[in-house]
Amino acid sequence: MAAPPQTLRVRGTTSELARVRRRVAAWAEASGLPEAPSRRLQMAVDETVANAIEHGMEDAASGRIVVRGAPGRGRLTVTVRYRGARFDPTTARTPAASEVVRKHAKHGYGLHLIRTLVDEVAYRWDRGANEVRLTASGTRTA
Amino acid sequence: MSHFSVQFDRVEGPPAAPVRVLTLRGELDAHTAPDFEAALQACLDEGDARLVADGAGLDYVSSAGLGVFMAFVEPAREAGGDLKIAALPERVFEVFDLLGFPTVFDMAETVEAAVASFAAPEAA
Repeated sequence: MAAPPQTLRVRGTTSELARVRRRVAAWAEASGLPEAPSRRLQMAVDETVANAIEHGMEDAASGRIVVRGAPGRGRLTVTVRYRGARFDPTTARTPAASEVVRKHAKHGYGLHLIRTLVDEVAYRWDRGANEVRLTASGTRTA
Repeated sequence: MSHFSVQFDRVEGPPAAPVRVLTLRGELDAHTAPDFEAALQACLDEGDARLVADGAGLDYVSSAGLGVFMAFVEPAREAGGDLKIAALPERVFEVFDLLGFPTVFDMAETVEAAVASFAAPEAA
């Protein structure tokens, strides 16, 4: 099977999220990542892209989000890049998950998931664009 | 392409008062969460507050979907009912568990158990 293209460019609309998850799954497959870390990485990328669409993008209607996959052996790094308000998910202040749950809040879960679900989250601000890098690893036992 | 659906079923007793079962299928993400929200709102608008979300057919739930569950648990309880979650596949339950949702929601292994756990309404 040919490796999936390593760059996916999507519009700033939530209807693209399923496509992003599928592509991350394909990269994970190509990296030999087991099912659980693959699923968690798909979710962390989904949350990052959804955040960009709903809160961060300069112009969600015409803007594009670039999602890049760098599959390695038993390891996958996905980079999400978009132009918009500077937002660092690794340092953004957010109430504790237990507090958000206790208040029965509708929002406030995404950042916790991004920080919890993958092995590494890194952020950089690069020439007017946010770049979030998410890495998952694991080895298939089967 | 739609990759999420909600279907309604009214289950008559026991318990005696009807319970609405919402059968969820597919992927509940930021795109499809409004469909689930509308379905729950329709139940409350129709006077049904005893609700069970049947999650057996769910493949995925993101924070947007989790937020919808959270947004409706209190309104359902205030209206004399509850929003219970049933039959979540392990891979989906993992996320609910990670965030501590089982401390707020009554989560059942089967739809039948969730329906049966609604107390019968007090006799008039």
